[in-house]
Amino acid sequence: MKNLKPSFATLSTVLFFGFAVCASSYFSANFMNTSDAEKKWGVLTLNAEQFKAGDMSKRASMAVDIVKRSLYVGKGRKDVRRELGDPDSYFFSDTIYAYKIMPFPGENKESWHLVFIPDDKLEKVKEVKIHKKCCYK
Amino acid sequence: MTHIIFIFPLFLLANFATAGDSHPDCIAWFNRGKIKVGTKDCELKCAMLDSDMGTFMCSNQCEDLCKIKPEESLLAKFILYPGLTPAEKSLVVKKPKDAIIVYEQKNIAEKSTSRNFPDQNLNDESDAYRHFLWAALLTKELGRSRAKEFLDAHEDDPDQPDIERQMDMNNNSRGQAATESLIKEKRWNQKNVEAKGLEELRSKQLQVLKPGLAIPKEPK
Repeated sequence: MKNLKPSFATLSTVLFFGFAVCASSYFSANFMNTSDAEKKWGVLTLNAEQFKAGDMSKRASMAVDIVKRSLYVGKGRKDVRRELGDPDSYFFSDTIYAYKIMPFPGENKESWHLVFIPDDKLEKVKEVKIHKKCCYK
Repeated sequence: MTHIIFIFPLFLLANFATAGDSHPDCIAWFNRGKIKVGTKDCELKCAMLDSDMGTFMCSNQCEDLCKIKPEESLLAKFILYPGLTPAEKSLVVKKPKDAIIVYEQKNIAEKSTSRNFPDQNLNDESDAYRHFLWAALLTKELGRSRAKEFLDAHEDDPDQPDIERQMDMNNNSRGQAATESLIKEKRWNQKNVEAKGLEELRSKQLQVLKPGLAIPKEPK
């Protein structure tokens, strides 16, 4: 029985590190809580047309409103796209809609965007969060 | 988080042989036999596996060892993180070892994309480059057809507009071809693949729906 243990340990270690590498970028993601976001950008009632038009001076504070009132939680992903326009940022997968909420600040400078985490069936929005796009130490 | 990380290996093993109460040594014994779980002759093949003094009782657990219970696996709870398409989920459950490679390579592709395009967005040059590189790296690791299974599965999002799917698939295809060509020329390494991706962006062989980013001359 003892001679089996190394292979079990080896396989589990390999799989562990394999998974740890692959999952790290999602599970180590940094999200801003609503109160911090409100302090940073304030709150502006969502105007979907203005958001869609890409006005970066207003998107961040409208994003706070979206998160604070859970405006899109439970809605279809198609609704998000129809109301807010095509996603224009990227977080972890093309299937997680992401929107810029601030102009690109330059390389290696802190930036945040709004992300819509889908449900397991990839139909509706499960959570909406403000995610730190850059930078991680 | 720490406790979750430390139980990962045990749960992951359960996806090779999803045996609820099976002894770990029997799971290892079963996995060494390389029998596909969920197939008709799984139990028969399992019962015929060579055993020794330490594993003689394992054949009694073949019924459990041959069952696929993806809904109980850690993959379903942790690896199946948000954003996977239905086809990807199915592949992750069917081919967990390949799935780990797929996500390792995805991570490498994303890091390279961040280095070369600090402002990563959707449908722009960074998106095209990311798909190209991921496909190229996967093809090196898994070969064309196994890599394509995962790449196509990623595009199985019913809400994705056709034009975006077309862009991604074109760029995946370019990445696969680039790796095959570099392997044939015995010049495959990550830097050369990255350089090829940037070159194909400049020559517009990669499809970009929303161009506008500066393309670096050399990979960073």
